[in-house]
Amino acid sequence: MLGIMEKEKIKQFTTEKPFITLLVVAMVFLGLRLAMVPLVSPEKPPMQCIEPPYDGCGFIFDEAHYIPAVRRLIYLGQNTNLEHPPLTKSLIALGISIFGDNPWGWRTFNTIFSAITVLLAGLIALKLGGRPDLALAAQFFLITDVTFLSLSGTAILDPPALAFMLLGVYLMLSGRKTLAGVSIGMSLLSKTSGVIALAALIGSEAVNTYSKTGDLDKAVQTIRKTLFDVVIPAAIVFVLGVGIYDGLTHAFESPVQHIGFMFDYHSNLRYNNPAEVELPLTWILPPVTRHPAPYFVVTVNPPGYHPVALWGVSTPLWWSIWFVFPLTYLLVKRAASRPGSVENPNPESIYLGWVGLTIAAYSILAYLLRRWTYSFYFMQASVLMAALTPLILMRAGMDRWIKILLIAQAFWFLLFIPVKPLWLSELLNYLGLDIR
Amino acid sequence: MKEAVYPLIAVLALLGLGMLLHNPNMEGSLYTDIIGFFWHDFAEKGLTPYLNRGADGAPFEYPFLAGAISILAWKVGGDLTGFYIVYSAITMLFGVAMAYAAYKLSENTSYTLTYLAAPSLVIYGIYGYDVMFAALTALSVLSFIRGRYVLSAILLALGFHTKLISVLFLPYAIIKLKGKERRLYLAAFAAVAIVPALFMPEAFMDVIKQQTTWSLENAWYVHIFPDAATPVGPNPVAGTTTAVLFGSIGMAILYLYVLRSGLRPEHFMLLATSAYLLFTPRYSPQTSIMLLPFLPTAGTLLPTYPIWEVANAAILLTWFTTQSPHLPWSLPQTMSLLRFAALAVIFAQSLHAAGLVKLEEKKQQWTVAGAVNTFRRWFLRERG
Repeated sequence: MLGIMEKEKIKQFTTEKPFITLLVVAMVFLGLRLAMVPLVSPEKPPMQCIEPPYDGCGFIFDEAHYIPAVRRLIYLGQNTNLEHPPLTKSLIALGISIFGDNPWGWRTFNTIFSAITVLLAGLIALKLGGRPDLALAAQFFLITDVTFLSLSGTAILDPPALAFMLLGVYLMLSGRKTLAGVSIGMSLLSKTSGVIALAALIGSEAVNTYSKTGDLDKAVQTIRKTLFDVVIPAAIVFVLGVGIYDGLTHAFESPVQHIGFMFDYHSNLRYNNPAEVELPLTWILPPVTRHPAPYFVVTVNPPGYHPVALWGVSTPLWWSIWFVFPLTYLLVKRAASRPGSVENPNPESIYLGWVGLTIAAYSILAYLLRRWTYSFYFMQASVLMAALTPLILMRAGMDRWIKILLIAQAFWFLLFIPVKPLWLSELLNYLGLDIR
Repeated sequence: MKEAVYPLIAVLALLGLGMLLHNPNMEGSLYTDIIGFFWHDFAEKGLTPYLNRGADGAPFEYPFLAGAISILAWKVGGDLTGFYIVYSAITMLFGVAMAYAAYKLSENTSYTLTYLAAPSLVIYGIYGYDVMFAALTALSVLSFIRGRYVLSAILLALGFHTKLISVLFLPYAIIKLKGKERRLYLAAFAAVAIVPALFMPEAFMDVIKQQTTWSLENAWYVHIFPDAATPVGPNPVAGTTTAVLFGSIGMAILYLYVLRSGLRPEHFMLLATSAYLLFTPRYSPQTSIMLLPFLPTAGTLLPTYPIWEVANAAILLTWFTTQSPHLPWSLPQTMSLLRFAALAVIFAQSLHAAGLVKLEEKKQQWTVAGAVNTFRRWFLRERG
């Protein structure tokens, strides 16, 4: 164990060089997550994994959509999966050209993007709170977020989308609004849900203005200004990116047609039976109404033992929304009643605006428009919740609750740890806590 | 009050004329939605909206007050003629309320008479629920001006249950009011707007679903997105989403531009309603009626108003002259383009009337040094 001197040294280093500390955590995450890349590998050659069935192809979760689409483009010159924006698939193609058509080629870039997300979560917390310990707590919340960890190293659309999204938030907090718009545009080029991120960014700016001035008129003024500053660059990047892809692949005659195709596709994904859908309220509850989603689960002897298991499941951080969201509402209301009493920007406003708008947007999609939704969509809110929750609790004088939440998160993580040794599985099984 | 009588008489005369022209028992009468989709789809077969689906299996597409008024007219009137008379009488009552509110909002008889003497009232007055909706919204704004906020919120919520779009006024009310008044307004609106939906969630969701899956209807940008052209109804085709997105973005930008608490409530509604009509994907011609009570508040002559009105009326009059009235450059869609251009001018004039654009302001001279300075400021900001 570390002695008192060593602990002091670490504390001093963390305080003096917070960026390096946060970077080290992100690099450690990158190393560990990269080590998991080859755990799920194909048994069949690539050309046998272009059409379903994909048994033995080594795909995790939605990789079964994107890797075959990339292969069809590379090997057969066919344009498929055009309902999703092209950036992530282009990165997968780049990975394949550098590292080969294997798990390293598919997943390396996305793993790097997830490490960047971990770094950015810490940097956002640091920027807003100025305390390295809280920034580290933010990173801990993110790394132990079971869904984030499961999907962070997979070849799906989310890792780059989330990284660019958080970069957008960071740039916005730094006052670089055009660059924030460019970054959100890149997020949109990775996944269409970037539209919601764009709305959330504008919303959190508006809430921020309201909490500072207590004037809703000024908040609307901020929306108008942010629309101009952020949406235009985001739209230019998006249209330009899709246009470049279409120009190179001849998938569509114009980016407008392509974008129209994407939005048509996504607006028509409607469900009939709510029981089949992971609806937004189930995202922020413990898995009582729905079993955790098995993204990739290996089962071997003894029966029920999963040496590798990537789950999608809500975490204590996600559940904390029931407490932290009303808390931020009250704090914002209090700040608004005393104009000029809060600094700019403040974490409560960003949390309230971002999380509130994200949940509202997905609720409208899921409950009113009856569009299919999945629990991992909540990562769009949870990555920022990880960065902001410790700060908000600290500012509300609830330091003890940060510790309680951290312990709960760690315990929950232990249950869903992706690579589980047999002894741990047996111990959890003995305690009746193993996920079967 | 005496002055208000003239607009009231004018509106009653126009709606009365409309009642004669749409009379379902008359040979060659003008088409009216209420006989088509309510009487033929529901009442004639003994089907009650919300409790039953229509003859073609589709739910009733309008919210609860609209449905309640139709059911009332059906139950009181009995047969088709009785229904038509009761429905027309109710519409006329609302017409009177609309004219009264329009006069009170502008306090100008000439402008009120000018803008309410609209062909749309003849052709689309006895048609659907637009007169009722316009009356409720205008009365809500009037009550708001008079400081009777709870009444304003209730009327707005009733408008919401006639045609959902009365919510255009809600954000303005929220930013204009403060503290207890704001909370009271929201509570009154929520109580009337949401509580009935909680009792019949399925029926309410059906209304929302119908409204959100509707394809383009007489939106001018069908000329930009020809792929989105489709016969009227809840039947979106590929390309509709882009067109709807385009419309929604345009609408949102204009709406946010005019959403300012500094504006007078009637001016805000004039601008917000115009913004909505300029970009709504579903601009059925009868919808124009919602703007009528607010036009006199511009307090000026709007030269393109007759073009807007005539083009709007012409959409129905030319609708059945072609096999594909929904296609770009068909006569009705050309009329919708003309209607857009005329309304855009009205919107611009209204901006000026509301004080948002001042034409007499000295124009800023554009110089290279100025542009360099602007770029420098931007660059410094982005560099952090």
